[in-house]
Amino acid sequence: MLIFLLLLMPLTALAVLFQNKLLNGVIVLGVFSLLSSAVYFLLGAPDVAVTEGAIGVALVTFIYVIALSDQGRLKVIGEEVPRFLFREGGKLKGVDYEILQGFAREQGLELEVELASREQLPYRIAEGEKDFIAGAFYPTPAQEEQFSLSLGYQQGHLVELPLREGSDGERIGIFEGVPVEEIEDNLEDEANFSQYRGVAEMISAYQRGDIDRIVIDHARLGNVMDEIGSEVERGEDFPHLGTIEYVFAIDKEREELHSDFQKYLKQLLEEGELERLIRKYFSQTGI
Amino acid sequence: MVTGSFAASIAVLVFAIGTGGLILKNNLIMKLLSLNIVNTSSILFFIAVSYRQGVQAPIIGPGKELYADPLPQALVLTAIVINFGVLALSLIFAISIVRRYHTLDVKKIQREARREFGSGVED
Amino acid sequence: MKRMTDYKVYLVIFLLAAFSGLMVFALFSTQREEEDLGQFYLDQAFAKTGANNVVSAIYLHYRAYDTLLEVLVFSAAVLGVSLFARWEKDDSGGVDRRSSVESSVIEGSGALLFSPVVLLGVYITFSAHLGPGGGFAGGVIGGTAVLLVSLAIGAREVGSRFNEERLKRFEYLIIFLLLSFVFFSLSDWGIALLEGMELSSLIAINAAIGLKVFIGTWAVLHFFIEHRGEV
Repeated sequence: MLIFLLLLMPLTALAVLFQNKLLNGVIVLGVFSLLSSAVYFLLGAPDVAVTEGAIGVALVTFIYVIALSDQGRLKVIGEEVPRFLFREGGKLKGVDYEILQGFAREQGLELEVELASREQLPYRIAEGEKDFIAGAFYPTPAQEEQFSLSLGYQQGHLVELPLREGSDGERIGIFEGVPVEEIEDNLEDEANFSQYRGVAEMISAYQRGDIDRIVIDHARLGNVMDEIGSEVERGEDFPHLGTIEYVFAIDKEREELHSDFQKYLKQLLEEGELERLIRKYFSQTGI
Repeated sequence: MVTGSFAASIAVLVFAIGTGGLILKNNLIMKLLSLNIVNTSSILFFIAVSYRQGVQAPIIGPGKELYADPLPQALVLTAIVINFGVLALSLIFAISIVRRYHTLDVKKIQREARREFGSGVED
Repeated sequence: MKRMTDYKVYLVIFLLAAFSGLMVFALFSTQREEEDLGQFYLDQAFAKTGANNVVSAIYLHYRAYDTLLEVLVFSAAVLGVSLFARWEKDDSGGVDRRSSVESSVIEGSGALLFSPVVLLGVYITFSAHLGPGGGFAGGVIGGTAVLLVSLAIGAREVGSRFNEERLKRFEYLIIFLLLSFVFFSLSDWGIALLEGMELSSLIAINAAIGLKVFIGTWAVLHFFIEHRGEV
């Protein structure tokens, strides 16, 4: 008996090393520990056997399984934008959210979304902390270099809001990444553009009186108006100034992730899933 | 019949397997598993040394004659617990590394670290 | 195993062959005819400490300092885990955080098995002088009982009961008591004072170790569960 177990030990040890999946290797290591515990006992060392059984078989295996069990999470950082990525009743919803969820499910990953303001988004990816930027995202020219972008999945319409009552001012605030030339063509007067990186910055600029009007994509209208408490009515016809494309941004290093996601998006597009999603969330107010 | 030397030889063999795995495997977690194997093998070696033919556990009881050597066993008990401590901590470090570099491949991590920290990273 | 550089393989094989050869050679060539230290312990331990289990007598009495330092090393490891296992905690509202396998078998049996496992841990801790076991094994077994419970009830529930501050203070108290007691009982006047009570002091040390290891294991498991890694 003892000889048999002893001879089994090197074989099991080799088996640990020849596993392809990490989790399998951990389980085989548990078997190896069990085997060695039995050998210790048969060699006349029951104390050691019990301790090795408790620690090596149970605890070590538990710890490894816990550490390895989350076979990766898909970590997303996004800006909260109504209809694309928003929270309702404690749950996340939106076009972006459902797209990401489908992708995560397909890849066998768990989806994890954190909401933040637009200025922070690029930093969170840079450190490798997050995998995706989402939330009706459109990049600045600098960011286009910085990240791998997905296919554009929806068009955003740029509208102009006169924010100060009766002001016809020339100072306009826009987000970085909004194509200025396209807008300029559509504007009647000459304008002074100030670029901002996020809603918060723009709003404080407005409150300081630095700008009079805002050009913003329609999806984010709600965010801005909520903050300022503008009396301009929603759904009112704002002059349309141009379009931008919403994309997802991925860390440039993650080539495999990028190509997988592109494939996934293409598939969504072809199967009409994308249209269905958009219709689902945009059915109330047409754009 | 099984002697202590036979078990000790097996222990040495497993030690060799574990060390081989430690050096040759590129996956960080696999290296940790190999380390575990090496630890177990060294414990087995001590137990094998404490073994005498046809022996009983070193617990004094009625009508028992030949006992195993209790001293190595006591020392080895310590070793098991310390191994576990080292393992848990190194697993935490491994997780931190993975969170940072997104890969378990040691070569890639070295490359990334070298890129980040300059040539101070030793091979 | 794929992608191995040639020279490394040969180097490893050579080194290991040399090492193994050396070990086996040393093993078979040493002829130690000197005094068998183990026999000394086997003869004396029961008379001196009253414990049947000679191994326990060794690491709780003759070599108690070793055990002490081992407990300290264990505590250091637990401390390290508690310090380093703090990654960014992403608090997202949209993720269903419950485990994917919600098996009623696990839930039921986990809760049911908690008491027996704890009992087993306590038994092993306290019966170390008669049979195999000891504080370490018992403490670890108790720790895994906590794991069972967290599988059954849910990690968040169990995690919320983990009052880190209080547990840390308790842990250090135990270590302090343990240290002082061991130093006391092994000193000259301690031995005289505790005449006739050696077995009890043995059991006391064991109990303290068991408690300490239990808390430590619980802490390690807690930190691992709470900050599950992305691997």
